[in-house]
Amino acid sequence: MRYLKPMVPADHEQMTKTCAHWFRDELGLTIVEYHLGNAFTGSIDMLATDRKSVFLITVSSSRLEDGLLRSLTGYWWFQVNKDFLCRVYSKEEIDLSLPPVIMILSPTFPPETKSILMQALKLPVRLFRCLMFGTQADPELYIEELPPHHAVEERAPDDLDDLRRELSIERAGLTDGEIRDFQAALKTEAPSLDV
Amino acid sequence: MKERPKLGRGLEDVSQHYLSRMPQRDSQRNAAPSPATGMRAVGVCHPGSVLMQSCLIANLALELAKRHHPVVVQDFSPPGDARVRSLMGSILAEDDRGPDQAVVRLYGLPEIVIAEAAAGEVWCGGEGPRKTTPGEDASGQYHLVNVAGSLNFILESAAIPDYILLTKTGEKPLIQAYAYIKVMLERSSASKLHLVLDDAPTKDDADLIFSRFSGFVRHRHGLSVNFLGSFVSDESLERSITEKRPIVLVPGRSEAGVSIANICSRFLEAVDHTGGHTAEGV
Repeated sequence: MRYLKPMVPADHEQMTKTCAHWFRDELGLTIVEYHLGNAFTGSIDMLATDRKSVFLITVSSSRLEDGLLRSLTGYWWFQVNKDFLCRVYSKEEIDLSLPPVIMILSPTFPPETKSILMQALKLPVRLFRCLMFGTQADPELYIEELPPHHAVEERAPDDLDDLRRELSIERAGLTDGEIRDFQAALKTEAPSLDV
Repeated sequence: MKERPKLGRGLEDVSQHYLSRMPQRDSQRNAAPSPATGMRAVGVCHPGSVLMQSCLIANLALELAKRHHPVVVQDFSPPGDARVRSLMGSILAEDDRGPDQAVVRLYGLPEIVIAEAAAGEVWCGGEGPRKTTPGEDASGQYHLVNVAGSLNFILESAAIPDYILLTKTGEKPLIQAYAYIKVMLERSSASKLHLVLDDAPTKDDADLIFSRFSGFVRHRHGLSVNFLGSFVSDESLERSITEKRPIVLVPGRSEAGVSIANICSRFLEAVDHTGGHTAEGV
């Protein structure tokens, strides 16, 4: 067994680029620009889109408070400079008339952060727990989205019907036993099944 | 300065392609003879990322063309930037084909036709949009099917003789991949299955995960899965996607480029060795 200790990345830009891979691969977003704006008037770490929304993404590697403030000032900067940005980016790259969504990545979130932000803000917010492990030279990234009201934590861990729905594999007809056998086979220490 | 008309369109790309580390002439000579019907269909599927799925198709199409195989890409993925046409945007030829078709024509190589399907369409087999002209040898023609992201598509489509399945290496993606394999085998037990691991941390990890995965499939279904290797994502791959230029055409040896070239190479070796495996054979 290995115990992984989260680390604070020294290179914020590298972390942002690494997170960009995840957003592109897992959520299918197109990253249009990195590091818009500036530290004084507001900045956005990543501007992205899925052709249905515009995502203003802030990556916070340490305290949520810093990331939250940066995210909100970034949104303010975006609103103030929207006309300018519309001239810079074509509609094919990003349609800035689409509804904006704030995304914040942080190592930790106090309980019910998402519910509080949803009530306090008029625009949608998506929160992602983002942890880095390994070394500064060879970091490993872990990202998961916080569901509304911490639904995942309330879910029974062994509910395989939920798993089938989540993975959209109902039509494969995998039985509970088959899934559990498969899970066990993946955890087998020696690759003894492959004989 | 007035810009001159560009001569030898695609020459730069094809030069790069020919100067790659892959042996072309020999592999062409050693390839197993295709049956008279010629067409070989290959389905590519990544349940977790349409973008990576299309990316592999775009590069595989070029590797096949490099070996002088005419290629038709049938794209059933959802409309958007993750389609093959978009990922090959910088090398598309100007052509008067319909809005749902595009073509890549590089000097000295057979053309790659990209046909985009409408929502809800399924693969029906057949020759597709690139009909062979009288006198043209259709042998060795490949149809790459960019599978729509659902099990229904596989169940409702015609049987595909070869599937390349890409998956991430977490427990859930692997369960999902196993479910896809089960459905592919249900659709046709004669289909050959090839696996690519998307984010394995090291080669040893990839080998171990594949060993356990394929062992389970063999134990349950009595069938072997062919391992094509690990798919590496890096900045050069990201840049190639942004610039709409498949990474096998990008100069330099990036980790991602090498990994994709190796995957394509292993796949082509596998189908060359099995030979005679056609859509009609399933």
